Amino acid sequence: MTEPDDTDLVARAQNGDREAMDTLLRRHYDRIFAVCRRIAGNTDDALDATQEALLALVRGISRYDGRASFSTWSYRVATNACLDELRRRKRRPEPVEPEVVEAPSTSGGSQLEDQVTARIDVDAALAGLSPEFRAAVTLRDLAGLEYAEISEVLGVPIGTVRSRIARGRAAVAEAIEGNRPGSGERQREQR
Amino acid sequence: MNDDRSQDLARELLRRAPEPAPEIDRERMLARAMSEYDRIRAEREPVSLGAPRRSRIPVWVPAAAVAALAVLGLSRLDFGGGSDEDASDSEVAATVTALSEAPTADAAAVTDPAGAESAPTVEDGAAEGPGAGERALSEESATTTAPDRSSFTGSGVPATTGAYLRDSVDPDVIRRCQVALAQQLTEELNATNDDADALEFDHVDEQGYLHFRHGSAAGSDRYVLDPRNCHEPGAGLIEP
Repeated sequence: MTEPDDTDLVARAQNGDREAMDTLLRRHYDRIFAVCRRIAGNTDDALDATQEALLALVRGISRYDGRASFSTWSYRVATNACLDELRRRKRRPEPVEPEVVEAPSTSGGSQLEDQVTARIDVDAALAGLSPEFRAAVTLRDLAGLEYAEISEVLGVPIGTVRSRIARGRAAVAEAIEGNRPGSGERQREQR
Repeated sequence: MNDDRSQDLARELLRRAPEPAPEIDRERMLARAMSEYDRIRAEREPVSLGAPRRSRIPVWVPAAAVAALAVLGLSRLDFGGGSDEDASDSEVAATVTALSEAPTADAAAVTDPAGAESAPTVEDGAAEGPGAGERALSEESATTTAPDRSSFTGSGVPATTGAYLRDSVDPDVIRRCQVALAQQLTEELNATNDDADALEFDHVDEQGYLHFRHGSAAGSDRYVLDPRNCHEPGAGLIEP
C-alpha cells in the first residue's frame, strides 16, 4: 500500500484527522530535530526546541496554505522555534558532548582526509557563530533550502544569507585545517 | 589539503545529520504535540450535545440544567427577527407554533426519551420502574430556581438578539435535539447532581447553533448544541 504523501496528510490533519497529524509529525521529526540540533549546538537545547517546534506545527497546521512544501514549512517553523527558544535562554551554545562524526564517503578522498574529518566536531566548529549564522548554513546544507527560502525564514536579504552560509562553512573548514596532521604542533609553536 | 578541499569537506560534514534524538524523548515529544492537537481540535469543534458519536467532547451538565430546559423549553421560544434567505417569517412562526402545540407527551419524551429503565434518576441515579426518570426530573424542577428570564425580551427572544433560526432547522429537528439533549443531560446527572447552577439558554446564532450558558457571567461555561447533529433518534451519547 502506498504511503500517503504530505499534501494528503496535511489536508486530513487540517480536518481533524488525528492519525494523519501523527504520521506527519513522525515523518518529519528526525529532520526537525537535526535542524534544531545544529542550530542549538547541543542535545538538551535541541530537544526543548524540537518540542516547541512540534507544538508550533500542530498549532499552525490550520493556517498552512500549501504554498511551500510541508517539509520547507516545517523547517521554517522549526528554525523560528529554535531561534526563539535560544533567544529566550539568551545563552550561547555550549556543546555538552563532542559529536563523533564519521568520515564522509568522499569519492576520491584520501585516507588522510578521512582521518581529518573523522575528528571534526561540527558543533564545536560552529559554536563561535551566532544561532542565526548557524541557522543559515544548517538550512542550506542540512535542510537543502534555497537561498530565497532561507532569506524568508530568517528575514534577511539573500546577500546576508550567502555571507552567513560562507561564514559557517569557513568555520568548519578552519576546523578541518586545524586538524591536519602537524597543525597542533604548529599551533603550539606559535604560542 | 588545500582550502577548496577543506570547503568541500566542510559542506559534506554539514550535510550529515547529527545523531537522532533518543527514542524516549521522541515519543514523549510526539505525545505532547498530539495532546496539544487534541486540545486545539476540541476547542474548535462546537460542543455538540446530542451529537451521534461525532463529538468526542465530554460534556458535564448539572441536574438543574434539565429543569432549566424544561422552564425555558424551546417550544415556548419565539424565534423572531433576522432575515432568512429561504425561510420566511411565516415559516419560522410555523415552527414556533408547531413547537408550542407539542403535546404533553413530548415533554415526557424529552425528559425520558429512551424509557426510564435506561435513564438514571436525578435523585440517586438509580431508575426504579417506568417513569422514574421523568418523576425525578420533575422533582428536580420543583426545587430549582428558574433561570432569570429578565435577560430575555418579552417575545422570548434572548437579549442577545440578532439571533434567529436558520431554515435548516425545522421543528422536528429541534424536537429531536430536545430529546437528545435531555437524554444526554440525564446521563450526566450523577456527576453533577450537587451543582445548583442552572443551564441558561442564551441564543441561537447565525449558524443555527443553540447556545446555552452555565455558571456565573464571569466564569460561565458555554455549551453549543448543533441542531444538525440531532437527526438520529437516540443520539446523545458523547464519547469521553
